[in-house]
Amino acid sequence: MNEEISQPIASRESRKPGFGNTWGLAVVCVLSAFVVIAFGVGFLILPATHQQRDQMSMHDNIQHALGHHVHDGMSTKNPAATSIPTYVVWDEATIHEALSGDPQRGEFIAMNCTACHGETGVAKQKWIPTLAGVNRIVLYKQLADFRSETRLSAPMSAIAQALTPQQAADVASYFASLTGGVETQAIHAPASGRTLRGTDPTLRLIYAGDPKRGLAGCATCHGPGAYRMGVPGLSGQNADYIEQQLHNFAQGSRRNDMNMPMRTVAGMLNAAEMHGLAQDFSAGQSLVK
Amino acid sequence: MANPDIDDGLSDFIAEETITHTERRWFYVMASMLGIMLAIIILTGITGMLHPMSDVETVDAKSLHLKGEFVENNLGVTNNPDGSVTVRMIAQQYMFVPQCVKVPIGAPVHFRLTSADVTHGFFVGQTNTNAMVVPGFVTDVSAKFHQAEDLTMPCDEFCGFGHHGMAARVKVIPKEQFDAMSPSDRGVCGAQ
Amino acid sequence: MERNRLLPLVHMWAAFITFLPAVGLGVWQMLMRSSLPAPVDDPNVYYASVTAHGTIMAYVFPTLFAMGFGYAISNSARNGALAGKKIAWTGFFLLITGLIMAVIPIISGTSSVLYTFYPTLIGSPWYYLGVVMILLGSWFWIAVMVLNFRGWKRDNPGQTVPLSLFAITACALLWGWTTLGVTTEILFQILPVAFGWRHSIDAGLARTLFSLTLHAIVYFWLIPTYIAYYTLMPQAAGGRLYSDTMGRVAFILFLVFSMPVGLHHLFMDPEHGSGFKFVQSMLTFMVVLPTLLTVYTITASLEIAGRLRGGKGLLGWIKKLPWDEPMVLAVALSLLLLGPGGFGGIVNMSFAMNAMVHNTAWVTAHFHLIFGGAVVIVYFAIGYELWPRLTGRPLMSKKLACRQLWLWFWGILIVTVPWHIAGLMGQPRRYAIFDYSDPSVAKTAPLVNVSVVGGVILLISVILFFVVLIRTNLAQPAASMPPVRYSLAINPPRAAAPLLNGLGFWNAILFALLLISYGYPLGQFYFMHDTSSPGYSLTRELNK
Repeated sequence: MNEEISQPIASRESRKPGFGNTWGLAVVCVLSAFVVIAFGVGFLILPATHQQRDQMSMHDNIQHALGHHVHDGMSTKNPAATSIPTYVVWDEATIHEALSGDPQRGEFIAMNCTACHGETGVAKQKWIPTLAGVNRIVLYKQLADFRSETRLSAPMSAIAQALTPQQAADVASYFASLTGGVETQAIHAPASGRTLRGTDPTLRLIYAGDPKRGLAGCATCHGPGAYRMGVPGLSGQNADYIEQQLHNFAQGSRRNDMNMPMRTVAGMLNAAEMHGLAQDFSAGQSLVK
Repeated sequence: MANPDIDDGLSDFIAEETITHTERRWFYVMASMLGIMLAIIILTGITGMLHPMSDVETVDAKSLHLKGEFVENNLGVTNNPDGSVTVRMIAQQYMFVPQCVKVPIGAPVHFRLTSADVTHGFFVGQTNTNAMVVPGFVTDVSAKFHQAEDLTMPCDEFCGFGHHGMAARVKVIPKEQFDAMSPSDRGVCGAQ
Repeated sequence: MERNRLLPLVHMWAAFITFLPAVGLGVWQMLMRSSLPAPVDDPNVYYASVTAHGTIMAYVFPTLFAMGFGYAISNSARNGALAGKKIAWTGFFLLITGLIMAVIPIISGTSSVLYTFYPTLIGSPWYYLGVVMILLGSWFWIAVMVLNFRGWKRDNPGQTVPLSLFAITACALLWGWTTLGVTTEILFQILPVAFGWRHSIDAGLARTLFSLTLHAIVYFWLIPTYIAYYTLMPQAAGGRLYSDTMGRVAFILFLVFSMPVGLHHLFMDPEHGSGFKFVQSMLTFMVVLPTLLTVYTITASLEIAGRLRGGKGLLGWIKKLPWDEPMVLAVALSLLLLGPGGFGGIVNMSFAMNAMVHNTAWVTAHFHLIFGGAVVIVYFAIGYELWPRLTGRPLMSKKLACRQLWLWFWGILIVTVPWHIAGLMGQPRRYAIFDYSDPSVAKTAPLVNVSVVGGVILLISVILFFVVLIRTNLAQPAASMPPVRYSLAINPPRAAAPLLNGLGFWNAILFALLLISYGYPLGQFYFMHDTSSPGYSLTRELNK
């Protein structure tokens, strides 16, 4: 092989390794220039063209490009909250408290509840909710809302106000541990017919919802097959109670749903649908095909 | 690990300089093409004011219902002094609240959303208004609508089992009709 | 025949064995979304299926494939004396353990968070641990690649590292950097909440960490295909590689620019300012460059091969190429798919156009076209190239292999073209259910249904692929099987140009670029307060 031809593209200089290499230096220079241009355009030129920014200084434009909210005289003060749905906030402390109930202490407290809610937490009258099997975080929150009267019920408010938050957590964890009432909501075996291909309109509403209305299936929050923090399971709950609560949400007389999910959803349902949903959910096991 | 057993006699049958020359020429063509594309992006960013969201506004997702911009009585459509309109919504599993809003034709509409739980997203009809809604942060995007229509605003980021059922409606109505409405009417679209 | 065949063979078998059911799930998913009847039509199952499909296709299949390919290349380079075999096998078993650990929670329905697992959605901690184990197993592979890279240089002082070894080592190093984002997110943010030790998580930080992985991973998938372009195809076509130098430059550009561009996945996010969004957008242009350079070099290499076989005239060389060679066919089909796929990528990386298509079916179409199409079609061909060498048996048969590749090509087009259109029509992605009675949705129905046909074609293609491999495995051993031959360039490099022969310098550049492009976007979260929000599990109470 001719030695001349075997001379590689790189010159003798570029045989030095690493940064001493002229090619290496060239790469660093080109990249640095590229980075400088990128920052220049991204932080100096483009932000100056964002809406109403011609009066802003270079420093403000850089701040804006970094994401810092620069006062441009446009922001308005937020109004006070005039309708508070609940005073519960799911911060670490509250969640911890809601999860720290002692079911044995709770059983003792629950002796005061059985008159209405049943000996085993299963309420005989269909317009009173069954508490057995309802998630403890849900019960804790409802008691807190009764206590603060953001959920209106004279008897329940009196009861809730007589309990400390710890006692509320205790009795909540007791009822949550009982079986025979509301069924576990979370995971269920896969099944057919849970899309809009299903033929029963109420079951369709439960599992597939109605995308045209912007309604997700009830089961996607309430189960069966799903869990959402603060949302009660409904399988096996009393039918009249479910139907009454749907009406209350739709009318706005019950308004302790944080950020209005139930009021929004119930407002999209008609009375026949509410009735059908209540009946199907209360049937419990037969929902799980 | 050269392959000494391939003796196809093809080594250097084209001079290295020729190949280097053609490759370098292609490199310049491609770099120029990319440069032009980049210039177009920058120019349209400058002239058409096409730019991504920039203000990083944080908000406490846990206490939206108690204080701040997204309390219940502040959700929905509000008029601004400069003639624009602000739509405030909360995104949560599995609906936008309020689920239906009315906005006027022609006025700039600022959508301000935050999430109460997980990451959601939304786009409005077939406009370019398309953004993510991340808990802890406020999303602020603007749009202008030019004709009366009923637009769907679906959630476009997987947020859980009910993701496919999550959609809001944006009804664009003539300005006179909008001005005549009370604030609470702008946040509802009638019973089913 | 070479020693150490078992290591790459087992990895490749494992890769394709996970691939087949994942494709099957994909076809079922397409049926679910369509207006056609579907079995087990349960939206919860759909989302679990998408999680399984994504986890396997993103974290398991291409990783196992790259590992197998890497071991094959390194072993050839070391003339059968691959170092670090024990490390390699340890990595494999860790990965398989992780796979099992990840798949079981998905099947049980507790982890339908999708492979992007955007918190504050939370699944089962065992799913995330499984993913971490999969990545951990692959890190052992990186160690073996680096070990053998260094070993080769020690054994051959002053020589130029073969392009295939250079490229696969760059690929392994890129993978190491890539996994940093998702591993940090899982270990420090998600797992504490999934196990119930903490209750809140900063979703903005999590998405930013994940963006470090999300874009670079696609180049990790791409590089084995490009290695085949540069080092297997020219030899298979009977020619030479047009330019070895350009090959090295391309792989170096991928190593350096795949990472500091992830923020372009967060254009539409509220947790970053426009400044860094633009900086990373501009850096993204740099990562387009190696593909453009590759297209030229590889087309030129094809042309050389065609003309050497007697092709004349401007396009006459195309006919003369050996189209019955699976590797040649696959590369050509791949280049055809790379065109529209790359165009889609350029749309996605320009903010203004991205606004039209963000999170619509267009995005799904894009990555299925470019990954499922341009990249995986060459994975098949690499399999066809390696199997005879690894098993000592001839390929049974080349004709069937080529038919399989054609089926895959058409299947991908029939699947992805309708999806692109549906995305432009405003169809959102990741939907289990569409209400086709809604007139605005009904117009996408024929598109979705056509794509189902494409999906079935793809499934048939994969089954055919297995038929070829199994028949090859069962065939009579050949008297002698030459080892894998990696293509030579027209001008083989004679003296090592240090910058094109080593990776240390480029890793340093990458590190600097990462600091510059991600330092502030990640660091800003440290100073933000109140951005953490509770974790939301889809199926269980998150215990204390």
